[in-house]
Amino acid sequence: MADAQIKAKVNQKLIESGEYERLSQYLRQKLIENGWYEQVTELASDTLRAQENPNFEKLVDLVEPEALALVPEFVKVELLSMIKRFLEGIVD
Amino acid sequence: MSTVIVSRAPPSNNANNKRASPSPRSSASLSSSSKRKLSVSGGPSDPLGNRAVARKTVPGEASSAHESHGFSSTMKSNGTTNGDSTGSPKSNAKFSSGGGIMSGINVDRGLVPQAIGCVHVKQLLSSPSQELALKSYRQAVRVALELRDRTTDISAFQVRRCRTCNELLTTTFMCLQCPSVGCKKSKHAEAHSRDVGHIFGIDSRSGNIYCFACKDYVYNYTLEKIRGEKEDLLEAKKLKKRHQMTSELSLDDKQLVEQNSKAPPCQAGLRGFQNMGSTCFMSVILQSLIHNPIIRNDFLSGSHDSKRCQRENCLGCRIDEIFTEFFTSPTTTGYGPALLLTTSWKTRRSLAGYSEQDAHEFLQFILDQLHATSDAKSSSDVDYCGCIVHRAFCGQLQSDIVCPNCRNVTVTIDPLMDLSLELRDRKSDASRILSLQQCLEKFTSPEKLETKYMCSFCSTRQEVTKQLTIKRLPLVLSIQLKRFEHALKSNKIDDHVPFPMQLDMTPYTTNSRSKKRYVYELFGVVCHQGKINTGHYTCSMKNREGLWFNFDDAMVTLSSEKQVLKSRAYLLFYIIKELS
Repeated sequence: MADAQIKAKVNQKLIESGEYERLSQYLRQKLIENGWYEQVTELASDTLRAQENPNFEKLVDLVEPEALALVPEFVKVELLSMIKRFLEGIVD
Repeated sequence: MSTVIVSRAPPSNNANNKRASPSPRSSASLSSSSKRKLSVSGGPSDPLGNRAVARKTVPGEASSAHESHGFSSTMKSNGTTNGDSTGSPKSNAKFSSGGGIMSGINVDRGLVPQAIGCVHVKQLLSSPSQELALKSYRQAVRVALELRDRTTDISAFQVRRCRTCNELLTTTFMCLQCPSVGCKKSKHAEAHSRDVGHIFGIDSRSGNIYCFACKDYVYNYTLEKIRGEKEDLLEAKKLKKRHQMTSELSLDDKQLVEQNSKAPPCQAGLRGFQNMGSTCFMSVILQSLIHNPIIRNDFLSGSHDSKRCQRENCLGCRIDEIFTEFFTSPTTTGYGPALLLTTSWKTRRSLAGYSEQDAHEFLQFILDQLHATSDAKSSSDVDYCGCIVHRAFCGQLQSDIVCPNCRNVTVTIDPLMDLSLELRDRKSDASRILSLQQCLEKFTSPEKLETKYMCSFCSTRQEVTKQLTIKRLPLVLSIQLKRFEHALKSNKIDDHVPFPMQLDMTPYTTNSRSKKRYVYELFGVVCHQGKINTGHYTCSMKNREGLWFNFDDAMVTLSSEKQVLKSRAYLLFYIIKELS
């Protein structure tokens, strides 16, 4: 259970320091800049139009894998390194 | 003793199904594919909605009065419940409840969920538990939306955490009927709904309702209204405005309005212009004004009263007349702007005749005229002019000239009505066409001027560096891509210049390291086909519902985002995202 405790502590520090908000904003900005929102919106619209009985869960099942794959590699790398840096700063 | 019967009509009864559908805005795909008729009924219930549940069905026996709104009451003799039941809460039907608000409802898993709301929400809101449900929902929405913006407050996350696994950073659902909160990812909310029979979860960040029976987010009109009002309230608080909801008119006033106003026709404002002899350059600019939310709202609110205006040859009146015509007349044939034409010619001789003109020049002309004929303009400072044209289009451009010798910076600020961008990077690869963002980057990057200037500070002649940045962004950004080169030979650059639907202008502002992002949304594109002197203008515009249309003189056709992004743009119109 030590893992769960550590995770909870990390989340707490993430939120209270404002880092979570910064990371979220950064991710949002990068995704906009790289056209990810547009691509996924189009994908979701097309998928939805093709569904006879539109359903959220079905939509997620169909769109989520591709949406995740469409995230530019460099964004994932950058975000991971930002998280790493944050962790190094709070863990001793 | 009561019976619960779920009946299904035979598939051949399609026509009936359409009429039976209660949703006023069923999407076409749903109503046409709906093959089953649902009738859900139960016996009388106590004030909390609890029913004595006996789930044995008696073929052919009609149930008593309590029927779901909008559904037909016929029962089929082959109606069966979803499996057997003996009245225990954990019977075969997954979401039946032993004692909560939704007790007595058996759900057929194969039923078609509705586009707006769902049968379960509808049932809930027409049951005696309605008031309780609305009250709970209001509270939950308050919690969700007020906590959403407290992004560094750990307690805000604690309130919304999953009570099973204690996860903070994940989507959770608050139960409508009890204090339970469960997460989506590990299916703890779903488990709760299964175990206790509470099928409604409220998304703890958006306040949207999730129905675990339908496995879908459902948007019921009444509940959406509550959620929407709360969102508006919070938004108004943010903008520090006094929140004014729809002003309550007196009965007399309401009657007066009804008797003297005309409802706008379907797809109001969607109409083409007749080409009256190479006037397509006008048509496209007029469409860009009609689809400009700020200009449109201003004219439709009656800010330029063409019936009372005393000016001669007033272009403001002509534009007002066009708005009136487009938004009140049910005609869909092309509009012939004869009066606008003659007024333009009388105002500027160079426009007279039937030769093709440049659309960008016409844009500048008409904006200038709208400013001149506006009652709201200020005579002196154009930077802070109150006319709608300046309020919409006018920003500020800052020019910094740096002397390499003494590092003195001369700052000049000029009004900015539109941006004209070079498409090629002459320094590096002159043959490569840049994207819109790259053009903007080039426009705002420091440039060493070739001619030497005398620096007034250190009194030496130097090769100064000049940099342009946008000091104040306008609400509406109009961009001209300089496709027409007038070098040794007049040449048109016809290549496709990539541009985005959403444009972040922050990097090109004077304070480019600002944390606040200035994001714009595209609403209009003007294209030119053909050669430099002869050619044809068409445009694509986005309407109020977010649909894109192509305008080719009088012909208006439905387009798509994909198509628009492929077009060879000449003029681009963006509006700040909050207003789009």
